[in-house]
Amino acid sequence: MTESAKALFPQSAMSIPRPTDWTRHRKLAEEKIHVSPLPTTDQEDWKYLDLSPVYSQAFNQIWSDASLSQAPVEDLAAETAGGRLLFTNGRFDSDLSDISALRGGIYFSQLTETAPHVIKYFGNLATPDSSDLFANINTARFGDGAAIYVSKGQSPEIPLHVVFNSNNIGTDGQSITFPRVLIVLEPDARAHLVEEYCGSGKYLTNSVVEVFLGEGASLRHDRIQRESPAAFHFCTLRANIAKSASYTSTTISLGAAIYRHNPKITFAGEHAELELNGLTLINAEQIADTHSLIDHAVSNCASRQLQKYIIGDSAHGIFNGQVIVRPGAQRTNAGQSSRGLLLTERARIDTKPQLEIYADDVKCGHGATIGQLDADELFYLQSRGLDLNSARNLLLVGFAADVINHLALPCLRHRLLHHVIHKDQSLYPNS
Amino acid sequence: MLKIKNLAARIGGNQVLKGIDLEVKPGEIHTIMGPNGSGKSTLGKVLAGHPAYEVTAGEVYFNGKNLLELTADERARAGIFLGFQNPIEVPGVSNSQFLRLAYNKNAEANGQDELDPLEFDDFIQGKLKLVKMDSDFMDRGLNEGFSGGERKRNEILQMSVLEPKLAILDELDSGLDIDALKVLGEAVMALKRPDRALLVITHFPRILETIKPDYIHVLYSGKFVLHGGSELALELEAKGYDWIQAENQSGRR
Repeated sequence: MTESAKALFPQSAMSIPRPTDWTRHRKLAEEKIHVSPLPTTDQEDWKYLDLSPVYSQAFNQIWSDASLSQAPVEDLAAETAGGRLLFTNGRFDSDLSDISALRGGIYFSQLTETAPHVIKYFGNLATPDSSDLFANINTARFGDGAAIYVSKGQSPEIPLHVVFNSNNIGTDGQSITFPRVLIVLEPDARAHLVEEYCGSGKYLTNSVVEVFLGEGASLRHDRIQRESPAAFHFCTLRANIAKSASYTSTTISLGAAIYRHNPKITFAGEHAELELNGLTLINAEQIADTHSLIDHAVSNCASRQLQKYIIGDSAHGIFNGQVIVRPGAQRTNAGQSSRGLLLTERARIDTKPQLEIYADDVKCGHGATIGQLDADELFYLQSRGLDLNSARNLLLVGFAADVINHLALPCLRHRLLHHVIHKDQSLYPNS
Repeated sequence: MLKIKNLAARIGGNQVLKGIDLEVKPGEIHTIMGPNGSGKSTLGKVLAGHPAYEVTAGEVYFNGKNLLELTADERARAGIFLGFQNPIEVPGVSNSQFLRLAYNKNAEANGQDELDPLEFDDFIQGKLKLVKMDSDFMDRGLNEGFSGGERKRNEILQMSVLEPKLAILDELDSGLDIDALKVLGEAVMALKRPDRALLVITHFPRILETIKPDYIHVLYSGKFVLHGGSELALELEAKGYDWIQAENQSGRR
């Protein structure tokens, strides 16, 4: 018999103050959780991801002042100083946040304090009547998060940076946090969001991100998941792209023992564009699972998806990429590519492209490759004097570069390329 | 400089080299010719240390070092360069990044100063002119989307950067038109020095009009069957390889 989600994720014992206009969503989501069984590998969507290590824990949502303003997260990107919100264990950390560089026309604040015209978007994509269990758990339990609203035609001069740090201080067992991000771009607005997850110790992060792009708006969204190696991380991303808007989403996943990324992106207007890129770099016994859905609900839109995996030791990568072209969504152009690099005999990847095409005038393609470092490529580099290690590293950098180069912050690109080479070191080697 | 004695090698179950003897002195140009499948490229790969080939007999000494005990990269840093017949494409790794890394690895091994990106950029300009290559190629991925001719230019560019003691050029002429062949042939000759030897592996004699060999060795079925000077190239041009095949199969040699 399957355990219920309610028992696994109990209400926090601490009192969490929340605005009353969330109440309706929270209540609906709570009801959903009560009747939802926990996913098991019997279900097609969870076939390769065994969550029993998660189910055997007892989780605690902490909401105390004690964990705030502890040692700051080390060496955050200098480019985003003055445009950063930092949350510790899901709670806004004012001492470590600084948005002094932002001008008018841009709302960048805690969700609990944002304006009514922003909060009305909340829960419209990650709707509680869906069967997205982890999204519903977030909706029912989250205490705060980040809200970003860029007014018509505006564009913040610096990237907006949201950091969710977990430090699991003062709890027995595992702590749990429910990060939440709401980003709304009005027509012709532009923004660049860097969403970053980090932490230390054992904890579970269950985040929900909702993205609304207005007509002609443009968003670059870089997501860096560098959680502690003992952590669990679940992310639900829901995005809605209006006419002629453009969305570039790049996810870099390095951390967490068990990771599940579930982006679902819907074209709501014609002539919109999506680039969905991901690089997963795992080793030890990490499991990283990306289940994506790109929904071409209207005609004349273009999507390009590139997912890359570098898998070492006994790690396990999973990719399920669903692309739906709805009836009537003519002149859709959809391309999907997934590439896996297995560094050891024990490394494993399960990959499944899933194209469902219900329109006839479309251009859709997908390609999936899985391989090891190429012996002839290694020999070529070695024949020029590079030792085996340098040759391997150069090939890894080459493999990862086209995803990493999508990241807009030069310091992040630089650090990641370094990390690809020195996987045993932290992303921030000087800290 | 290079002394090969009774070298035999195989890949998988296929015995490709069956007893090669060759001595190359500094400043000399040796050419290895022979029909397809005779083992020419294998000899180049075995000398450069390709791990897929297994040496089953013989010995190879390079400037007094037992070459067969060294890995491919150690051989490269000791001064051996193999110009590939089919240079590999490595997307994502820029040509300049790769070349500078290779230069610095060799410089480090030989006690020379490493170059930073700006210094390297200055250093590479003259070399690019030598092979008539546009500097845009430095920013592209290593051989990524390069034509056959561009890849071969890139090989000679790498040779000019690494300054090897022994350069083995495997089928430099394949995939080149006559003009490009002349440019690269002249570039190789410009890199000729009294202390540098060349081992030119080729099927067709044409490249030998520009790179004039001191010695020609004809390889057939894993063994040298004929040795001569540059005049042998003319004979092979006129008669092809069939007569060598015929003579060897009938057992007259």
